[in-house]
Amino acid sequence: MRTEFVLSEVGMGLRRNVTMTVAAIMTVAISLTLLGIALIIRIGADQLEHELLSQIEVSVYLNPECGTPNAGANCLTPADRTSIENTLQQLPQVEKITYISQADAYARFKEEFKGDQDLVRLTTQNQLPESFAVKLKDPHDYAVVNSAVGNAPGVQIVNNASSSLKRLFSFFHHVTLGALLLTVLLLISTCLLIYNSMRVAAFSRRRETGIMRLVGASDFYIQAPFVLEGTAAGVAGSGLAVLLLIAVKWYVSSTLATRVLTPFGEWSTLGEALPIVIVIGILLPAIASFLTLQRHLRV
Amino acid sequence: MIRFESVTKVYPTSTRPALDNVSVDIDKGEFVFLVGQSGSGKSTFLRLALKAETPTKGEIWVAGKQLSRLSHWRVPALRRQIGTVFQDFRLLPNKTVAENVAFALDVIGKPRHVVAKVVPEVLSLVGLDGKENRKPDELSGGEQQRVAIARAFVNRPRVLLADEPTGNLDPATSVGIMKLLDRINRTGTTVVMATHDSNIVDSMRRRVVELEGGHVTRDQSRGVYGYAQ
Repeated sequence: MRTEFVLSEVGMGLRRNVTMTVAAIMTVAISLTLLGIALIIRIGADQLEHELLSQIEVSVYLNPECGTPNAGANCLTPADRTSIENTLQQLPQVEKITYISQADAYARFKEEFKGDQDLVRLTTQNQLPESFAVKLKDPHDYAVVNSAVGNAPGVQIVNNASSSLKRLFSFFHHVTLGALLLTVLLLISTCLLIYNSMRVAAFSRRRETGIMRLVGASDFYIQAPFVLEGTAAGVAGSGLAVLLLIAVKWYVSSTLATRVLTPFGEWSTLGEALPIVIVIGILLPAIASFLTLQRHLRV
Repeated sequence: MIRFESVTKVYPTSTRPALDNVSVDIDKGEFVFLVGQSGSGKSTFLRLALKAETPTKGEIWVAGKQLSRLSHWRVPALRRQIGTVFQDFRLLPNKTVAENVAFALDVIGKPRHVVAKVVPEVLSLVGLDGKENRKPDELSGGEQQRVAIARAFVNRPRVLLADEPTGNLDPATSVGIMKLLDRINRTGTTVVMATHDSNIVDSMRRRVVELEGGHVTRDQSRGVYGYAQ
């Protein structure tokens, strides 16, 4: 095999078909960038979900203790508190229980709202309920806590942040799904475009391929220039897509990525998405051009 | 070298067979004219020998190979033993004479130093010394056909198939091409030439196989074009 001869044929083919080549490269680049963004959202959302859920605790807020000024009809007795704690401790899903007294709650409150001194001044320790912070082995099991102690005497409310987070994650989920769907459509049109440009290339080179067949060139020699041209477009398109994705990452991390959305702006997320993007970007055009040849360059 | 045994070829779009139960045996080193009117099956005969078509019935042997048993990936090896020349030359217009001939070797992976040595030799054999760097459209028809013959012969095939090689040329030029084909034949290459140029056939006095409507109507060892015995 003569590598330099095959490569010179590839170069000639790319130059002859320059508009088609540019179109193919750009479609590859755009569809791959979209694929990359979809992957980043998916990977980022997964990480975010994992991170946030692992921090989340289910809070079991208790009623004011009997005998204190705020105590109502359903006031808390020390026996109630012990019984609630025991019940929680016996749940197999529970990892850790932290008791937060009114003093602890007030300290946390002051810390959290230190920017709003008026609010802190107006709030007294007595207004804040004592609670158990329950850490679960699997954050998805939050419902167990409510069914175990939700109606126990002395319990005010079982609050869990996961339900509001769930809406956030279902939003991410839908965005990812939509982006992937668009990506699939774009990838299909990329395939069709490459298929078409290969057909044009095969037609414009039919004299050459006719002679090649006649003098006994193997399928490899006849088809390799076309497949390599498709692959070259794929490589160039992937390269462009990688640059575009780095630009997107840079933009996200410098503007959008707040304290909460960090996973979307991290190199590791991009690093996970890029190999998939590059592999698809190189395989897809190569496969598309190979399939074209099976139909249009049969010996 | 080429053997057709009861070969029938029916094209899918036609009801009448292009070749009907044809049996022909061509020995190594022979020069055979294939004559007959347009549509008599001459080109089909050549295309079948190249395995560009497969017969509907019958068996074909070329260069010791039974074509029906030749798998797809071995067809290139068969064609490297067959040179082909056409009425319309089929040169690449954007390549020079030397590049056109070299192309036939490049695409079968011959090393560069072999190509550099063999191409000038064959161009000299066909009488194109000094025209290596011309483009085909700067040459006369006869010279273009010489380039095509050089390309067909550069890999030293055992068989040369020529489909109306003088069809586009004037009589004087045709004589030159026939002399060239005769020279190639004398190197031991089997030549099969389809033609309806009666002057050429009459003057060469070689074997003539006549086809009519897909049948062999005559097979004469030192024949002429018509029935003028």
